[in-house]
Amino acid sequence: MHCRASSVEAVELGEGVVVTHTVLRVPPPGLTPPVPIAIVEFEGGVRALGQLTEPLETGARVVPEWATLREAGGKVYEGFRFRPR
Amino acid sequence: MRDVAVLSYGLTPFGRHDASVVDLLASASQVALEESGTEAVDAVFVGNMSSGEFEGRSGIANALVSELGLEPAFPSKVENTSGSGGAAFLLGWAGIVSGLYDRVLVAGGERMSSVDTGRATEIIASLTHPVEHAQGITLPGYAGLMARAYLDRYGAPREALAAVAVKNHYNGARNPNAQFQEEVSMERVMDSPMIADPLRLFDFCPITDGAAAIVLSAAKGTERTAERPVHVRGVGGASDTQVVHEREDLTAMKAVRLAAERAYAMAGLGPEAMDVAEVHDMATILEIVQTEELGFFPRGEGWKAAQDGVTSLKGTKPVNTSGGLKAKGHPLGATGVAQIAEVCAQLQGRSGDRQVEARVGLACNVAGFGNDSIVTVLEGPA
Repeated sequence: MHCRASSVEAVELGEGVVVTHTVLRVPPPGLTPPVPIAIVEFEGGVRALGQLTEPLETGARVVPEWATLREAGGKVYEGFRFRPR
Repeated sequence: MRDVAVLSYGLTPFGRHDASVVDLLASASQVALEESGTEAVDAVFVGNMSSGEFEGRSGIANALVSELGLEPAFPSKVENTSGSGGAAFLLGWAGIVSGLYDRVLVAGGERMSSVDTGRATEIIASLTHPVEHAQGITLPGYAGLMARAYLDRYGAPREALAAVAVKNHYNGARNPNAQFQEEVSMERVMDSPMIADPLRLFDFCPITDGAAAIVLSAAKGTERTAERPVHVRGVGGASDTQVVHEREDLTAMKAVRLAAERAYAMAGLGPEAMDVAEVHDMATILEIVQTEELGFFPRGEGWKAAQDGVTSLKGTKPVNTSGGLKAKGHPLGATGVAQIAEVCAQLQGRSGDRQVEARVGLACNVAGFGNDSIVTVLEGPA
């Protein structure tokens, strides 16, 4: 999405599917390894990259939850992470 | 269009240096300037990502001009993350093509060992989109995500990725400027510590200090000044989305494909004509995907070429004869320039134990995680 995007609309993030995943063994400040991360695809093809609450395989069904993702350099990072449905 | 030639190149050894980034740039540049017999240039473009973050230095292009006594040449630092060197080259080349300049020094360098690996990874991760950055994603993390998707989709064995590391270490062992001049076994790669599943330590390039420089010139008249100039036949640059998860194909690098198409079209040459190539193997999976995007192999088959030795020194499509980012090292801003220097060395027959037979070659420099790319097609002396 960008400022000049021709079509921007809000979408409800319901249930999604893990399309690829990894585990960060050397994460940035504010995170303790291991940090499982995935790209999740939702209905309509919308995708998001986010932390997983536990390591999951491709094809796993997940739902998003709002969370504090990490705190580093005096900043608090918030966003969606994903947990098994 | 004006014909542009690479007159000469210079490199520092890649590895760990106590010298500052400006001193590294100056040593590489001095070699290139001396070899070309050039005493004055019209402009100096310096590829560098993060001299401020690594060393607290700004104004390094002006500092380099001053260090070399090249005033009043116009100086500019070009920042395009890990594609800074390629971007500096593209702008220097464009300056000559346009007729604005006749002779340009293009240098690239980075000194990264001034900080620890964690801090270096963080500096590099600052190039990611804020939405992804918040999650803690790193460049190795993206590579893990791509590798998983690629192995799953194409049924490739994990060992095919390791084959890239084994090959590039073999080549690096034959490059006196490489950071790692040591061969490694498949077992050593497969047993190295996990960094971002399924990728391990030996799937990744190291943290490196180093610099590279080339002297570019309008080709007309260079017969008198250079022994064997290499001609720039095609240059292409293109970008992709900054947000990686939005890309339509997570196993592709669209910016590389588009940049290559543009460079091939300008050169009037296709992938089959490339005798040698330097590509941006920040991680082993990226070499495989780039060899597909450059059109060397069909999508989903690059891993077979890596495993079967097609991209080795003795193969039909030698890739990363220098050792690549993996073994030669990856001083961010230096890489795009060093890749062009390696292709020139191959085309001029100056590559010693790693020499392959080559008349035409390309360099593929990538910024970020495929955020953009610069592809250059070069043709050797007749």
